[in-house]
Amino acid sequence: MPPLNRPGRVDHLIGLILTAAYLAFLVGTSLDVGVPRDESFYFFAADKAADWWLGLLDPEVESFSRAEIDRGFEYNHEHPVLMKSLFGLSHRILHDRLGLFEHHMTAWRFPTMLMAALALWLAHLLGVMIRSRAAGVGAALCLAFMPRVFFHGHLACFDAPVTFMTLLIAYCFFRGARSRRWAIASGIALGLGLATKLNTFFVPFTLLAVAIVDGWVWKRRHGALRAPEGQRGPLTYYGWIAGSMVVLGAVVFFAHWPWLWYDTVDRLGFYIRFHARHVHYPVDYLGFLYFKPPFPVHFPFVFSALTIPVGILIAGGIGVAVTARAAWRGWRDAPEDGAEAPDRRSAEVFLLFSLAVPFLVIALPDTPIFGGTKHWMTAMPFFAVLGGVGLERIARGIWPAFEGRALALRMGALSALMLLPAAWATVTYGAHGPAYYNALAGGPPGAAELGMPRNFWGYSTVTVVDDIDRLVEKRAMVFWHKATKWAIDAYKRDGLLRGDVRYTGDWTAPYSNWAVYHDQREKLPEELDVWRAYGTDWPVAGFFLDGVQLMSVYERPAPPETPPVPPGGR
Amino acid sequence: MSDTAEARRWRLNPWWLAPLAVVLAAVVVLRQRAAVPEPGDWQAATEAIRAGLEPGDGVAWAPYWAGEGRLFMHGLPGFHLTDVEAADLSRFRRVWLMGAFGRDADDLPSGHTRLERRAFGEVTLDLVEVGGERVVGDLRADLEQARVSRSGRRVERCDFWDGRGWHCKVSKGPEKTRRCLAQPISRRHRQRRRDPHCGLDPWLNVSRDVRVIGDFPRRCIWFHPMAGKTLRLHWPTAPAGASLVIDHGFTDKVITDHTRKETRTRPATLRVRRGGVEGPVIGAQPVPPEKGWRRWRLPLDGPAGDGLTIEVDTEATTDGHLCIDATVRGPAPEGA
Repeated sequence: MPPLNRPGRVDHLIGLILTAAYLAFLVGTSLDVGVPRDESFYFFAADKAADWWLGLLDPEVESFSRAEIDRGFEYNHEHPVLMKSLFGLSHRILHDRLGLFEHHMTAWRFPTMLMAALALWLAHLLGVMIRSRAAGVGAALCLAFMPRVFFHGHLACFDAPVTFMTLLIAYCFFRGARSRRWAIASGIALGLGLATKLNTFFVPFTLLAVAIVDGWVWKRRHGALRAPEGQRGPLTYYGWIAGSMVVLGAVVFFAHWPWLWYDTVDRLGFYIRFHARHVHYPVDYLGFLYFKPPFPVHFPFVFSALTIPVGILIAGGIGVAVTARAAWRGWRDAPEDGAEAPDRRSAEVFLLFSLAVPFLVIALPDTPIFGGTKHWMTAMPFFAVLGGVGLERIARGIWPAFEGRALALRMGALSALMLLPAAWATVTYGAHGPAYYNALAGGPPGAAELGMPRNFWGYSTVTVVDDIDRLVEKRAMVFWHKATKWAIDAYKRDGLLRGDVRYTGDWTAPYSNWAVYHDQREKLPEELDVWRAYGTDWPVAGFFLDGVQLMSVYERPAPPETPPVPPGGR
Repeated sequence: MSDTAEARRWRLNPWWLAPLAVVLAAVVVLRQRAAVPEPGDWQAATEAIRAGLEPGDGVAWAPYWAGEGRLFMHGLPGFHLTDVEAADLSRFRRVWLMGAFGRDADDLPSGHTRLERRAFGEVTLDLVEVGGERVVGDLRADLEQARVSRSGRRVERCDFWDGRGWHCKVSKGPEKTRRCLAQPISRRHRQRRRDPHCGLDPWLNVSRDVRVIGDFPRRCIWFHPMAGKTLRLHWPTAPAGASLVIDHGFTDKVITDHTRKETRTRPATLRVRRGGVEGPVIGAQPVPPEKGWRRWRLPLDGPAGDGLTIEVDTEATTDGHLCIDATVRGPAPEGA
C-alpha cells in the first residue's frame, strides 16, 4: 500500500471551498426545514445557557453561584451543554446583537450548520490522506449529498454536531497515531465530543479496537510491540492518545458543564442513569410497529440501504470492499519491515471500524432506535470517505491506462454522473429528510408501500404554516399535534406564521377548531381523535411528498351544538 | 484484428456497471415520479364522481397511503378501503374507486362488476357494481334507535345521548350536560382540565367511533365491557336477514402498541340474543386479547321480530377497549 498523503495547502483550500459552499447551502435552506419537538426545547435551553455564559462578562452577575448555574443549566440537564451554549450564543450574538441573521431559527441553527459543513472538510482530508485528492473531493460530495444527513445538518440538535465530533475525534486519533501534537488534540476532541452528545462514549472503544489491531500488526511485522531504539511506534502514540483522552477528555467534559460543578456525583449519576435506562419509543419498520425490544438486528443496515442515494451506496459499497480487501491483505501478508509505508499502518481498519461500530451498536436488539437514521449518522462520514475511495476505484477500473491529471479529470466526470442524482435528491427532498427514500425503496411511495416511516416528531409543521395562515380565522384555536408551543412560537417569531393563531396543547383535538396531523404511524390514533371530534375524515389541506401524506390540516365543519334527544333517551 | 482482440474489445468492462446502475436508478426515479398524480388529477376524478353519484354509492381510493384525494372527498360518501384485495363493499350498491400507483378495481376480490373506467392524469377512476351479499341493517347507523343498559346487581339504563352515543352516568344531569357540550370551543378549551368531558365518562359508554384495530382505522361502535356487569345493546330495528356479521377487536393501543410487558386487557365474551334482553341466546363468541379485526358471522333464521340484543362481559375492566361493527346481511334487493 502507498504511504499516507499529507494534505497540502491546495487540499485545505478545496476543503474550505467545499465547506463554505455547503454552509451557504444549509443557511439558505434553513427556513425550509421545520422544527422537531426536541429542537424547540433546545432553543429555550440554548438561550438560558447563553445568558449564563454572557453573564460572565457582567461583574454584577454572580455567575458561579449555585443559583445562577441552576438558572442557566437546570432546564434540559439530561444533555451536556456545549451545543446548547453555542446555539444560544449564536442567537444572542449573531442575531440579537450583531443582526447578522435575520431569522432567529437560522441563528440558533448556525453552529450545527457550521459543523455539518466542517465535516465535509474533514472527510475530504481523510480521503486525501488515505487515497488521493480526487477521492477526498468524492468523499466530501458523498457526505454533502445524503438527503437525511443534509436535513439533520440544519437542526439545532445534537446529531449533526456529534457526527462532526466523531469525525473530529477519529481524525485527531488517526493523525495522533503518527504525531504527538495530534495525540494531545485527540483528548480535547473527545472532551468536546462528550460535551456534545452521549454516543461519543462509544468512539474511544472503536479507536481502542483500531489501536489493538494496529499494535498486533506492528508486532507481527517488527517482532515486538515496542519500536526500535530512537523510533516511535504505535505503543508510544497510543499511550499519548489514551492519556490525553482520559485526562483532557474528562477535564473538557467536566469544565464545559457548570451544572456538574455542584452535587457532582448526583448530577453525573442522573445523567448516566437517564441514558442507560432510556425509554423505548415506537419504531415503525417494514410494516411493523415495534414498541419494545428486541428490535430487528437488520434495522440500521436495511434502513441505510433504502435511504442513501444509490450512487453513493454503490461507491461506498465498492469502497468498503476495496478497503476490506486491503485490510485483509495487510493483516495476512505481514510484509517485512519497511516493505510497506510505515505511516500507513492500519488506516483501512480505522475506516472500517469507524464505519461499522455505530451500525453494530444500533443493531443490538435492546438499543433504543426511535430516532431512525440519525442514531447511526456518525458512521456516514466514514461511509462517505469510503465512497470517495470507491469512486476512485471505479474510475481506475474503467480507465486503467490513465494516471494523474487525466485520471482525475475522468474521475470528476464519473463522480458528476454518479452523484448528480444524489445532489438532485438532496435539493428536492433534503428539507423533508426523514421522508426521503432512494430508488431501491421506490422513493417515498415505495417506502409507504413497504411500511416505512416518513415523519418524525413534528418537523414537517413548516409545510402547512402557509395553509394555516391562509385558511384560519383570527385567533383560531389550532391543535398542532406533534409541534410544541415553542416550535409554533419559533415560526411566529420568524414571520412564518401569523401571530394571532393559537396553540391548544397536546391531545386537545376536541377543544380546537383546526387540527394539524403529522403522519406518523404510532400517532394514527391521534388523527382518529380529530375525525371523532370534528365528525369528518377529510382534511382541507395538507402536504404530500410524491403523493404520500406527510401532513394534513382539518377544519371543524360546524360549531358544537346541543345534542338532540332520541326517542327513549334523556 | 484477431478474434481474441475483437472479443476483448466488445467485452464489457465490469466497472462500467457502477455508473450504469446509477443511470438505471435515475431512470427508475423519473418513472416513479411520473406516476405520481397531481392534486388536480384527484380533484378531476372526484368531480366526475359528483356528476355521476347515485344513492347507495360509496367512494374510496387506493392504495390507502396515497391519501391526497381525501382533500377532495368533502360531501362524498367516502369510506376507508385499507385492503383492496380483501375489500368488503357490501354496504354499497356501487363503489367508485380512485386508483393510483398501479392500483385499481382489478385488485378487488372477484364477484364485482366493473361498469366503467376513466383516467384523470395518473388517477384511474373505476365504477364498480358490487356483487354478493348486501348490508340490510347497520347498527352504527341505527345507534340512536338502540337501547343500552348495564346490569350487575342492578340494571342501569344508559339513556343519555351526547350526539355520538349512549352514556350511563351523567354526573351533572342531562340538561346541564347538554348545555356544557354545546358551549363554544374556546370555553370547552378553558375548562378542559377541570371538566374535560362535561361530566360524562369518556371510556364507559356506547358510541359511534373510529379506532385503530389491526393496524388500520375501523369504523365501529365503542363497546367497553365492565367486570362484573353485562353491557347490553338492544337493536330493536334490526331487520330480517341471512346473517348477522359482527366485526370486532380490541384497539391496538391496549393489545400491542404499548411498552408494558404484556397487555392488561382480559378476554371478553360477545353474545347475541334474539329479541330483547330476555330473548334466547343465539350465539356466543369469545374475544381474545389479541391484535386484529375479526369477523363473527351468525346465521339468522326467521323474521326480524323484536330485533337483536348484543351483550358483552369480561373479567377485568382495565383496557377493555373493544369496538364492534354489527350489520345484518342478506341478498341484494331486487333492482338494487
